[in-house]
Amino acid sequence: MTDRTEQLIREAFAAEADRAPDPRTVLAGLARAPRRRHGMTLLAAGVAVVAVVAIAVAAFVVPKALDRGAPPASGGAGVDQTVLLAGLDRSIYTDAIMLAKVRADGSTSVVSLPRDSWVSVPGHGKQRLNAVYARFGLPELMETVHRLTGVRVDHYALMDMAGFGELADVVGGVPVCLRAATTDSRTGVSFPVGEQTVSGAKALAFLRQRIGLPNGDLDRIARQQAFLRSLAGVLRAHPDTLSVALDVVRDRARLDPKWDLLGLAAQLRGPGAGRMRFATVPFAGELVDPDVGTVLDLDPATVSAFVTSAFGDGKGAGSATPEPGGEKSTSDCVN
Amino acid sequence: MADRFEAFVAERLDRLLRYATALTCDPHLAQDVVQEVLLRAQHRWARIGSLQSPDAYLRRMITNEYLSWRRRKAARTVALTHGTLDALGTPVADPATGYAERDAMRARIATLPRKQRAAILLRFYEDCTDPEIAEVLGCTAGTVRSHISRALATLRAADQHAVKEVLS
Repeated sequence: MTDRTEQLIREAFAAEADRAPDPRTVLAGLARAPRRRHGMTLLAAGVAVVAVVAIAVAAFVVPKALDRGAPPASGGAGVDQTVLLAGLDRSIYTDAIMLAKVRADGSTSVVSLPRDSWVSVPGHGKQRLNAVYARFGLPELMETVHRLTGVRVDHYALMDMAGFGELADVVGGVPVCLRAATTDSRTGVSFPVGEQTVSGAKALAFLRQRIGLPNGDLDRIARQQAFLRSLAGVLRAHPDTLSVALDVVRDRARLDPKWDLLGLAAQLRGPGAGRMRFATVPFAGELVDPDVGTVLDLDPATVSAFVTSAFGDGKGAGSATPEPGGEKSTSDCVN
Repeated sequence: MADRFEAFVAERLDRLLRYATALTCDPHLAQDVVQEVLLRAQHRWARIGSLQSPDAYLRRMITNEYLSWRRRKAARTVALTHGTLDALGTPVADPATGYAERDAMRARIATLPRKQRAAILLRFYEDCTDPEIAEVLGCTAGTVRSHISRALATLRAADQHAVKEVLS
């Protein structure tokens, strides 16, 4: 009985499939189809890219999207806002954590928080920063970052790290530069010394490598910052790749639903839009915890003072991103 | 890059259309769905083309496109399908009862809830495993098993009924 019913089902599906339309009709239809228009969706998602690909990208991309004739975004004067940006690995550990401040004039500062930071989680004692989201959740991560930096987190954007590999892919590769050749013994991926362009799995390996680098995770942070800066440059130089990049972000990112992205877009047209700085919070030294191994010892007062300074007027600690205008953004060599 | 998309379409379009037709039970709807999906795929081909299995990816896009197709339109489609089936209903075939049973099965499959139909299509037409089906439908393997067992229960019950009619 069973076999007969299943056999009938197979035959029925095959007979149904035989009614398929002629592929030539569909090909003709494809040829006739008008090119897609993105309009406001593109605009809103453009800001999303910003957030996720680190506000860095946005400051270049969004003004361009707006200049293409989209109506001005709602609101008017922007507000200072802080955004938590996190890149998740496959087991949803946050391998990259950045806190960004977008000022009312559109200038941006981004501060990386090392994933090995030994931090106080409300109600859960000391934890390694990269495990807070996976073990306790987003509100806890936001509150932990608040306590550590003294800065209230207004919004968040999460994206899995593989999404960055795809982003590099769809923009046709992201130029990076290394001071030394390395091999990641865990993934087997090698990188030569000097300038190179990474995309797809290679880009992901570039962003995730810490084994085989002299300063481990800190070198990885330098890579993440260099990658984002370079990606912003690529998007600026090739705005035609924007729409595919947005597709990736739509698929891969989780954005704060309460975030006024159109307002942010308007803000990012401000006079300070070209100014972006990256920095990494200082730490006092390394600690060895019997349960979790080596972690970074941070002094909250020092971290808070550092972040306050970096977020203050946009001229604080950290390396500046070249002003927009130069055709090529030079990617500084890292580790 | 555009060339690679054209090449892929030239090679696979027939198979995708057959899948979509079996899924929707309607050649016109299948054409719309496939066309819509290919337009979107073309737009982001740099990414899809480099995936391990662009086929599986497109199959998932087609399935999801159909599952999210506006209900009103889909309901009208099933009604039309039944009309078509009735018109086709008198088989010339040998063995006559075989074709009649198969076409009766087609009609019953067309009345299944869409997710159940997608699940048994992936199982019996594409020979997918439970986890593979779960990935396409965006649900758990347990839900897949539930879809399939419900669909089979419906089809079997109707099948027995039909057999009695044929034999009586």
